[in-house]
Amino acid sequence: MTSIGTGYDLSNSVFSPDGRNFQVEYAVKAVESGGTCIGIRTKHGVVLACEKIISSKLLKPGCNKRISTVDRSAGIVTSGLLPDGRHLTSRGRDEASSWRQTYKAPIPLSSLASRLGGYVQAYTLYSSVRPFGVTAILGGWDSEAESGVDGQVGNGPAAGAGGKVDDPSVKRGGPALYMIEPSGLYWGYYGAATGKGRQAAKAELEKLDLNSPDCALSLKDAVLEAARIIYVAHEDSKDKEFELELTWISALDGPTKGRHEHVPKELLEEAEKHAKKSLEGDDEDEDDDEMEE
Amino acid sequence: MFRNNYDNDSVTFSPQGRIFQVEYAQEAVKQGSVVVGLVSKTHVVLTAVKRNAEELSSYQKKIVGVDDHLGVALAGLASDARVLSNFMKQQSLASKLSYGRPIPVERVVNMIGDRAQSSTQHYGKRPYGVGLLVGGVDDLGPHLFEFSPSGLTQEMLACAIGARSQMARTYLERHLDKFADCSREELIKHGLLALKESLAQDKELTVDNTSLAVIGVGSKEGKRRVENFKMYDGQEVGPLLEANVETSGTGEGEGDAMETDS
Amino acid sequence: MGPDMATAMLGEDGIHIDMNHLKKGEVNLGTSIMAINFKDGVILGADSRTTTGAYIANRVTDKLTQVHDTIWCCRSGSAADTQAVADIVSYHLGLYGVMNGQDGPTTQTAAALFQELCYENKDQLSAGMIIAGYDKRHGGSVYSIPLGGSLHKQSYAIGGSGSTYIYGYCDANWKEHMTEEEGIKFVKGALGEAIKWDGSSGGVIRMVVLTNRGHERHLYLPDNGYTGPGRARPATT
Repeated sequence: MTSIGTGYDLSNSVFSPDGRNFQVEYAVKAVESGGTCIGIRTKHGVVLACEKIISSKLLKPGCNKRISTVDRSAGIVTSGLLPDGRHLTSRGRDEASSWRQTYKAPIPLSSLASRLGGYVQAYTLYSSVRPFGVTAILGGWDSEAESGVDGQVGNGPAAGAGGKVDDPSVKRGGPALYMIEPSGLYWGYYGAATGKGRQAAKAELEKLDLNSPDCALSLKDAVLEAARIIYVAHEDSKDKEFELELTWISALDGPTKGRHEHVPKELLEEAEKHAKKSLEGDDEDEDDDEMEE
Repeated sequence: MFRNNYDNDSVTFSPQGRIFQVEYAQEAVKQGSVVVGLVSKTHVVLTAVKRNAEELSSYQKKIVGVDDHLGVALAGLASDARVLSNFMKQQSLASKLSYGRPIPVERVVNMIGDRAQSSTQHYGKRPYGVGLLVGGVDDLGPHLFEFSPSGLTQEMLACAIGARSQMARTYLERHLDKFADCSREELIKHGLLALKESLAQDKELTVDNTSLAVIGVGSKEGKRRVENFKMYDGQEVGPLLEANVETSGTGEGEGDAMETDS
Repeated sequence: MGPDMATAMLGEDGIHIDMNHLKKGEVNLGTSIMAINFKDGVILGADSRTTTGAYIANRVTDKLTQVHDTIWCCRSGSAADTQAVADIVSYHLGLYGVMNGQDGPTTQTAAALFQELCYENKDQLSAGMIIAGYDKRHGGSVYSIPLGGSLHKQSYAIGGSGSTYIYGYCDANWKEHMTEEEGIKFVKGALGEAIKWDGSSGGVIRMVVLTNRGHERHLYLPDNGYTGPGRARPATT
């Protein structure tokens, strides 16, 4: 059934006779033309990357960041309508801080995804609002540290807490990656992609075997791969210039010490170089890494 | 009456995922007279062409000082700009009260961006019909931001918005590399020349129709010092025009050359 | 109202203790409560006396309140206030449990919620609480939230009017990493002294043991010098 001309697509929160909300589907269209954004989850941490199309020479290079930090160890990147992305990001920050205020501890990423998913979903329920024109990728690392309640005095027994079990099934922090769609639907991912180049990006992500338990990708490899994938996904819109933005989150004993941050300048440059080189390599040979610097 | 069914309000997506009401609001920006902004490592300059409704009326206000370190130039609905600049004034004052320092430029720009976004997502509101160039200085140096009705805010090296602003942008793109190291005077010159590019053939910059504002950071005896927002309006622009722009030579900056802009 | 108030607050002069902070006739838990860490988890203990002034309103009160599967609290101060606070926390933890997946709330979560309530409403509450719980991630933990609403993580915590008499006992007998039997003996010994010396503590001694086996209740009666009957309910998980 087509949407146009039926009248069922003119208002949000209205079902068509076959049970669709067209306004949400149209919001997805806004995302499909946005810059490509991806997230990679490895055992060692999470990488977020985005393709920032340079719409004007007059833009200040290296500014207008698109990947934001919502809590110390959580980042968010959105594709689609940029101002909507800012709205969602600021909601994410509010959720993180209100959680901290209630529970005196950082919000687990699963809960943050759930809260944001619920928020986005609420914008599909009423004709007085429009859905979010963004898909958001949320990456983070739930801290494995034995941190106390914020503001508590004292540390309990010096001998440590009694009866703690060393059961590997007990979750003690770790990486997390979620993607939230305009409908409010969200899933956890090993590798997520959205925006214009998502198809190509997904194909590349699948090659990384991220869901295999013996995936050997290090966090740095993931950074290089993320950069490469953004470059691959950009191939279809080669005429437009773009800037690559990269952030990462590692464990406490990793390079970012459990924080979400932009990758250092040197690593960003290395990743860009690696990406460009592997694209050139693609033309002749699949062999990407072994060339001289 | 409507061009299509999807442009009645700002809470309806078109099948292509566009929001026409927001795009129309962006058209309102193009109805306004041109404003230009540009930054160097030390200064930010805003320039504007003012219009008057009729020959005997006064000229509209195109540049508004928000605080000592912050100003905006507007193109589009002036009353919407007033709402936004008043809001910025409040926020700037609140920041001084709470934190004892001037508000960082990006922060206040994000605040108006967020406000504008919310009026594109809720029924019964309309998008702001104005574009702004926000210039200011903070601890990180001078900044220029473009604000548009969609709520999009972007940091720019130089920018021009409003009627016929493409000509100014072309000028800015052509000279972009020079701006960073410009002196205060050179930056003003580029600001005025870019503005001039966008004038209609029979128009020229006069003391009556030109506004200019400068904010800067300098150091005095090794200490960082902010060069406060300074607006040049009316007779004060005369010397700047004479020094930088060829005028048709009413020398004294008389109003003879001025024309009604309708 | 007797001088039985662990919960007594400083008066306006900041020096003299306001003995009449409870409303006339308000039910008070003139109390001896405590919770300790031991090798496998935590033990909570309490006497069972509830007073209204000099009158013992209840001689077999249960001051050990469950707020989640293996997160419990000891209540002292106003019975009404502490019940209300525990009810609210219990609601929040229940909600947390169903909203946030398999892991469920930790003792930390509970302590944070208790503290927020006790601190934000400190002017209206007379509640001194001890939170103790067991969770798989952190093992056993004991938190004390005294009158002002501050939060203290401790090896063991004592509270209520009766606790003033047993600081010495506890300090002399405390050992870290005790076995369950040693822990029970410690709690029983301490509460026995508190009951002996504090006029507004008395009745039976109740205990709850929280480990990875779940919770286990103990009961000790004055009739036989607090020797039994002991474990009152089999472990549940």
